[in-house]
Amino acid sequence: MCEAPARSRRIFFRSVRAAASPTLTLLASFSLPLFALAPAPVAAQPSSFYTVAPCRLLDTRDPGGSFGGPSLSFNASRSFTFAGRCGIATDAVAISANLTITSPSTAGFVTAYPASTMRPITSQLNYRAGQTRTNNAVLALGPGGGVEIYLGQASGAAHLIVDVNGYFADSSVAAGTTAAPAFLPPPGTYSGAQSIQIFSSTPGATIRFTTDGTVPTRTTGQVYTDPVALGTASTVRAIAFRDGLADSAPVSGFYNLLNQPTLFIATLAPEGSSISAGTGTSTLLLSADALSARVQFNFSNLTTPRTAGHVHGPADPGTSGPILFDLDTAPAQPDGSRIWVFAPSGPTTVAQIVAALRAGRLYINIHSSRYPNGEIRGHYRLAAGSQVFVPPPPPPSLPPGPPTARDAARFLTQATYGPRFEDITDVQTRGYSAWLSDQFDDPTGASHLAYLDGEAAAGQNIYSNQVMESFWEQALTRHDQLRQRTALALSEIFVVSDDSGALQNQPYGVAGYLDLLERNAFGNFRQLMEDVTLSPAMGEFLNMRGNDREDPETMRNPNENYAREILQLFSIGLYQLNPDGTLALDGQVQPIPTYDQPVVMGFAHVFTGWNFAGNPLDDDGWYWPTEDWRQPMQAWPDHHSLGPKLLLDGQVLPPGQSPEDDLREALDAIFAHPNVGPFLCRQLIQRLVTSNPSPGYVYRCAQAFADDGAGVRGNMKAVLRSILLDYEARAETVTTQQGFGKQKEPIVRLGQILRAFRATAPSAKYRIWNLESPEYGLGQNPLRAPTVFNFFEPNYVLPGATADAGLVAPEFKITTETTAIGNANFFRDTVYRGVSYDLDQVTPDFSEILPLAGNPTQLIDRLNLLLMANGMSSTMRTILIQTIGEIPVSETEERVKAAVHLIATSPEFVIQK
Amino acid sequence: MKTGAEISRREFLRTACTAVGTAALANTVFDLTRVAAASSLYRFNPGDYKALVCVFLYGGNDGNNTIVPTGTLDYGDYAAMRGALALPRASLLPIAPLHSDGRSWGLHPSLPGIRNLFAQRHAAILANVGPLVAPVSRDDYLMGSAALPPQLFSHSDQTVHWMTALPDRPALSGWGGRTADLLRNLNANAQISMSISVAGTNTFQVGNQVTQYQVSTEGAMGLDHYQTGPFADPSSRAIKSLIETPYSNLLERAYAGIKKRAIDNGEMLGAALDATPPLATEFPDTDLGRQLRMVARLIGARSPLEQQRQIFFVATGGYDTHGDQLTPQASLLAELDQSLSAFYQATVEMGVAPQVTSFTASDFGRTYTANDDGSDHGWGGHHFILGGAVQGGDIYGAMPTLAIEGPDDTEQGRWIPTTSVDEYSATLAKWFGVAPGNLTDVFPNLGRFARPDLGFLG
Repeated sequence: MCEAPARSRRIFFRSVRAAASPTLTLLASFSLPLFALAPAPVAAQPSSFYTVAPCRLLDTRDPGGSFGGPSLSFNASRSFTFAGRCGIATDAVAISANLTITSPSTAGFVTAYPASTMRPITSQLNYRAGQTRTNNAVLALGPGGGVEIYLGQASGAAHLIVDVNGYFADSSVAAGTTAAPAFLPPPGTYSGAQSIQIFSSTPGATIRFTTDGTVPTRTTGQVYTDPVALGTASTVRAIAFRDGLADSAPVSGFYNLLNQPTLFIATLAPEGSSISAGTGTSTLLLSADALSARVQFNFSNLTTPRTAGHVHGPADPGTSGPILFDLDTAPAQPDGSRIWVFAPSGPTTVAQIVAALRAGRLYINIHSSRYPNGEIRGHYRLAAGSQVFVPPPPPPSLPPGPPTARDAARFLTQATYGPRFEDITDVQTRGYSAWLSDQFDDPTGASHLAYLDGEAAAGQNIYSNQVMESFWEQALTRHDQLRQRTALALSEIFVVSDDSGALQNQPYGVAGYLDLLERNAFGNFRQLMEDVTLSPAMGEFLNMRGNDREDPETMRNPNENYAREILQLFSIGLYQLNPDGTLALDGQVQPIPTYDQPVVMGFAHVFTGWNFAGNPLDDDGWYWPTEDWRQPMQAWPDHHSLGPKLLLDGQVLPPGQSPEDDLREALDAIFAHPNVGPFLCRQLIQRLVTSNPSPGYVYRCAQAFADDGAGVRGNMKAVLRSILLDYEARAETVTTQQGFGKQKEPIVRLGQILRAFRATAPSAKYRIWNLESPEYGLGQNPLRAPTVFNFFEPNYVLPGATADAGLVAPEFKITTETTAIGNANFFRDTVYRGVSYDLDQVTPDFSEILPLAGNPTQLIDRLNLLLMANGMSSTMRTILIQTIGEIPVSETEERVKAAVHLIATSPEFVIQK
Repeated sequence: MKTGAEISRREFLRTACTAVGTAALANTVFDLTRVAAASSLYRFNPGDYKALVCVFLYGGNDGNNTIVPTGTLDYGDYAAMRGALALPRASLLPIAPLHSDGRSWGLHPSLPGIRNLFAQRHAAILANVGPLVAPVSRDDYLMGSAALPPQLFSHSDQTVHWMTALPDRPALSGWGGRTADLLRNLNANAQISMSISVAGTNTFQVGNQVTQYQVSTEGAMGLDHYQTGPFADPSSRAIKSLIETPYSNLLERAYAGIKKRAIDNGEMLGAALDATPPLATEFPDTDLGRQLRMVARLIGARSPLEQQRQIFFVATGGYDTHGDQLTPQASLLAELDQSLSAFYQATVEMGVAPQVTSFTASDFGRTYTANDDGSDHGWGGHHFILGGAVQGGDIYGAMPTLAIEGPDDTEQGRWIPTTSVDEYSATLAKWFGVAPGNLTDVFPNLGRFARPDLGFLG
């Protein structure tokens, strides 16, 4: 499962002299132990040369790339880091590369030299004006794998390309020695308890570890199987070994755990059969010694006055448990909280109370006179948060080597509607970064609106059906796959829905909205927010269209729907976040609300005076507008609220501003809020990579959101690049964590099967309509979520083992006994006969794999790569190979369909790791 | 109306799956009450058994042609007003309610079975019932001063209002689901939910705790082409192996677990049905007939299922008769009549007739005035309640004054309901076992109406 790409070792140098090369003179001047040419024999480290597939490290002609332009300028050096890229090991000391100069404006030379050293007077490449010239060179790397490149010209500039073909590294790492263990999360300072994974990149290696200060050996220390739970600051030491290899050196890491109390949060909602608009929040701080807790609670909108409040348990959601703590028997602290000193209660011991709390089996409920058995209740869930933010330590380095076929397929599973074979080869050849650049540069094709217009011109009546056709056509056939996946993800954050109500019969509104998301997928988040805000579809869905200024005579106030949701769901959320997405806590260790009701009202006043474009700006136009579902809404100054408007953090818009100015400044205020990066990043990571990203992962993405490297905030390209190239997305070792990955939502699963096998219909249309039925469809249809809260919420917790492990599992909100059966039947139908409701089936084409049907092993292995990124467990592989073997060899098509059907409905396919 | 391809699955699904986000709420994840049951050591008591069967007529049944005045003058007015829609007077099936409002009535000619049950006092009629926020008079309505359910005359909204009995609140749960929440301890040991639907996901059975369980007319929702036992085909055996593999990844384990539970519960239900003696009663081979046959079989399996309470949902569509109404409504009502008659007979055969009450519901009634050969969306409509416990042979509520611009008219004979869905449903829920003190938990608006118990269940 966690094989590191093998290094192909070609040359093994024992002596320094054997390393002589044409560039020896250059290297000689840098006292690298490896290449030192001092007259006396040197006790050099043994080093080895490792080939890598030729890979482009640098191309200054590519200004959009992460490692490119602009061109090099005359008489200046620029720094580059080569280690860790193109499969160059992070411990590499030198690389072998071809240097190519092109378009030099004058004659000159290139000198590449290790970072942090003096520039030598030698050179690797000399050229005349306008020449394109190439030379091979061995370039020594400085600390951290850095290189300086100097362009020796009298004036002007030139472009440089560097292609690597191998590197030198300390050979002890690989030469018959087990790779040393690494820790995840990496050693560092953390606010609370940590669960530490230890792994070695040597396949089959055994790991032993200690936390008591002793040094583990082949025979001492504990054998590592499951993550190590650390409750207090500790040093973890570990060693890896495998028969036939030398033991690794012992490694150690210090985990400084600040041991703040552990935070649990309950969100209260109507209990039992109570019919209530009541809501509430409660926090429970478990002391570090787990002997007491501090309980804080608030609530609103009860039907009748509160009569009592208790903490109950142990009990699962939906069931009742005995009272463990009566909130009214403990005196209120100055901050309103109650101190709960744990005591045995009935048969429940203190240890069981704490265990139940950690397992999500304690709940708080508030009783009212109408509902004496409890009106609202909520289960406590573990929440990450801290008073003092400690930046997460950087992740370990990714293992070296170009993407394997598995790596490439995994990457494409996250970034697209699933790979085809040629896509896998493409990513392997070009590397992730170049693939991303290509996607970013791919312009949007014909729009969804254009599809509707085409159908209308062909005489069709336009319904939501054509929006769905266009959605699937683009998702399945467009080259801009990353844009397609990102747009789907954004449609589940910035939710509009044609499920019912206002947009049910507005296909142009919904199509235009989808176009808007695709257009902004690689743009700037600020522009995305503005386009969403002014879209007539969103305006209709959340009541901003036609939202009128306040009227004191009729006591009318502006509608708060859009104001509330843009804050809560689209940008910053309910509580202040640390830059890593964990909750920021105040002096009482309570979460800090990002806004309150007056702020919602302030924004509600901002969002007044907007209606369909193209109408006269008078009352007739306002009250009876012609509906233009394609253009952004326009403003009616006479229907815009004129008073001052409270924004976030005390900012107030002055009275009398135009609707446009108010809108711009209000959106600027939201965009500037520090929550936006971590808030957006966590959800995009959840949609593309994993349901439970580490704080470090969220932090790294949020940093990219805050600054794309060129000082720009909100650059979606930088955010996506960060998400998809992060250690946690790319590292093979992470995939073995018990909680890693996510459920592929049904839409993506269907897209993957149809795309992998190039499904088409006789009409060449994609009439894939109305998949929302839980019994007969997917239980999910694009742009048809039941509410603005999407099909599932980012914090949905599935009771059971995942909850006990502190994991959220959003997509499981729509995974029920009914959808489990319904989905399985739907996918069987899809594989065996295609998708649609009439004879125009969108049918998969299995011709590419049909020739393998005679050999079950080859068939399954090929499908394993295509559909599961070679992630199939050996158990599943064995089951499938045996099953296909039992189908008569003459039934070629049945063998292939059975194989695809079994994979498409298997737990290992459904969960993307 | 939509045409062509648009009326396809989507239309069907829309009628079957209304505005609530039912996809998420139709969670049949094992009824969590079982966990509580283990500690309460509840014993199944077959003597205390009851079932409610909601028969939903999607599209809005034309009550004006379901129950028709037969008096000479009244029929003359009826025939004049309804024009092409008027049923021949001689075809009507006369009924003799215990209490007369001075008018005489006959049932649609397709309803002989229900007419007989009415005569035997096993069936009752509830007149002019519909969703209300509060009682409404014609004057209030015309003045615009009445609190009205939002989106009156809209299919999706009115259907949801019938199912939630809460037209003035966001649709978060149905009254069947809330009733099940309250009574769930009676089914403490049951593996499957008290709320069973033979007609797909619906708002009526959405509860806060008790979830709805979907079955087909053949039994549990199962995997297509899935075989069990030693002679199962290779694919079926592989499916079984793949969901029984002990996955180390928790999400894989969770997904496999849900799928396995779905299959296991389906098999358990199938075994319980197989162990139940076959019914001698013949059901019509129609959609509704097959649905009610499955309901009867599930009632027969109540003991192995350990269900002391069952709430069923069945439904049929096509009642939205804007045009060419006469023929389709006749065949729809015939299907209804034959299916409900057979169902009642089956409950007699099983000896549970007094413990099973079925009742009809529909989006709305239809306009009294005809639009050529059809009728348009209305409001109040007439409904049937059947079962051994029903105080039948009578009309409850009040038949409307069948006059345009009469006291019950909004316009065009869209009758203002004189009985609320709240009163109708509360009467059923009270019989089913919701304690009087808890009725307002299920029906918060009940206090706004005069009769929390309409009396048709004693």
